[in-house]
Amino acid sequence: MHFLCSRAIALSVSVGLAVLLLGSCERDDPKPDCMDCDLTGIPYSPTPHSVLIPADFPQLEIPADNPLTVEGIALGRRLFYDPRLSADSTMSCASCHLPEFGFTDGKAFSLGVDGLLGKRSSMSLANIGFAYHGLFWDGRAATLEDQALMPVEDPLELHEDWANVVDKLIRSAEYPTWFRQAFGIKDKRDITKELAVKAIAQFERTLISANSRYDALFIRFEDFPTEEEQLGYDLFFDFEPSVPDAECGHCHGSVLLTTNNYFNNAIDSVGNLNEFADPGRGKVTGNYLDNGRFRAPTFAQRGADSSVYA
Amino acid sequence: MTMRSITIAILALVLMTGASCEKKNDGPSSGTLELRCKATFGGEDLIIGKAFAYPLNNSALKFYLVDYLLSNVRLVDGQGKDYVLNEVDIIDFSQTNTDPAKAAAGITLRFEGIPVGTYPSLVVGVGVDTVVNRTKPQDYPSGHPLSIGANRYWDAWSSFIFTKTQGLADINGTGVFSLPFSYHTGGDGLYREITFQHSTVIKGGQVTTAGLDLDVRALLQQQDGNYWDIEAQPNAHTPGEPAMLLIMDNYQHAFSMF
Repeated sequence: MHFLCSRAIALSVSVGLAVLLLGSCERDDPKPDCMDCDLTGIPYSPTPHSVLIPADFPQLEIPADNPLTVEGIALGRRLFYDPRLSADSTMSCASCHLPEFGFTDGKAFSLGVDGLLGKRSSMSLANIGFAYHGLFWDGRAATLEDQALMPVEDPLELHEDWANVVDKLIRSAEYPTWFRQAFGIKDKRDITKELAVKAIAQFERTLISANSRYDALFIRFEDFPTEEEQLGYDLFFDFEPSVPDAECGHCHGSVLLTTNNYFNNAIDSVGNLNEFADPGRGKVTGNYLDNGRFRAPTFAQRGADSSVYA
Repeated sequence: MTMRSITIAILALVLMTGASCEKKNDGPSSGTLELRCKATFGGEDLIIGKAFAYPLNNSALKFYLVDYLLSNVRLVDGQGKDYVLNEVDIIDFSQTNTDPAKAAAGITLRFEGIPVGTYPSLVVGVGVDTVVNRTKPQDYPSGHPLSIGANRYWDAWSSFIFTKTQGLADINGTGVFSLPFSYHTGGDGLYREITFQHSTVIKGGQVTTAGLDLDVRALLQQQDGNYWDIEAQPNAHTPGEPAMLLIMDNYQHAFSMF
């Protein structure tokens, strides 16, 4: 053990030295001259932001390296609605995640920037900050930050190159200032895709839906449900033994109306687990038992009278 | 970068590396218990998706989900004093028992820092006690066995789901597994604690092993010796249903230590 440990220390020192020296070389290597790239004249004093979480909701878990700030959220919101993230500057994230549809588009398959249909529909982003077990229908992205990287370069979605997006942001009149205010970059050429997706993730974590009629009736008990609403609730969750169980609550349970877990909804008729045209979760985990499973979407904020607040 | 800052960086690296090499050994006054949990079916390792003969009407079963909440595990010393090892863990064989080697290995829980001594008995809980059952999934952080993402809470009954036993049945020996069965248990009053008179010796700085086997076939055996008629009642997820009570009561003798 001591021998191994000594070798490990020696190796670590060598690698560490190399990294440090390389790092110092990078820092000392001046960027090419740029007349208007310096952003240090713009104040950087980010304002911490606390999201208003309803009492019955779980804790909003925020990565330590991406705390919410007013400036970061504002930047993320701008990026979310900005068509410059697509190849021909016609589509933004919001093209398929519309607030009036619970941050989805109400379509079975979403249309990409090239007019091609996607393989799946766009998922609701309502309460997406509480999805801790993977993003997308199959959970292939671990975090919101990882997730936001992918649609930009997906040929069936925005079909743009991140390098181009970053170039557009650097050349824009406003974004360098906004990135400076959100993340403290000193030079407009310090804008990166990683910072862009951090901002988008910050914005997405504020998409809290807890203000629908459902919340008022069955979470906050502020009003009496109609007979039909009560019947629907009993069917959904099997609260009333005399009412048949529609079994919805198994996948769409909890205060979030989803557990963000992976299920098969039996819509596809297959002879065995290897016959699914879209294996979903199984392609990510490599476990054939996960074939045909997809993340249960939330039903939060599906009503037209819903609103999102943060 | 100056020589001084390089020196400081190297020193920091050495200290960090040294720290990572430091093994968290139990001291002379404490040791570790590794509890290996297995699932079997009538003595055979339970493998997910494998057909097992079921002693009723020439039928057979394939299991796709077998799990349980293991809580309040504790060693009891000679004076009857408890040493609590865990709050709650999910023992989920559906992700581990996918091939014979993994099924034979089982799922190992590791409990460190146990005071040295001889403990004449080991107690395990199946499900969660009434105090914990008053909490809700949103009270727990992601990754916790009781969190929302663990997907084991009934909003309708205000209870965590204690155990899940699911699969497909071939009800008449034709080789066609066409009947889905699903038994979920839970609810106040169904939490079970099982005490094993199993002497566990914890030695300073050493690892002691123990095994906990669950015979899934025994979960479905009724008091008269006959097996539960899966065709007649293939599902249970409402507290008070007979299958639920049967399964929870059967954990007492479906468990054995090895």
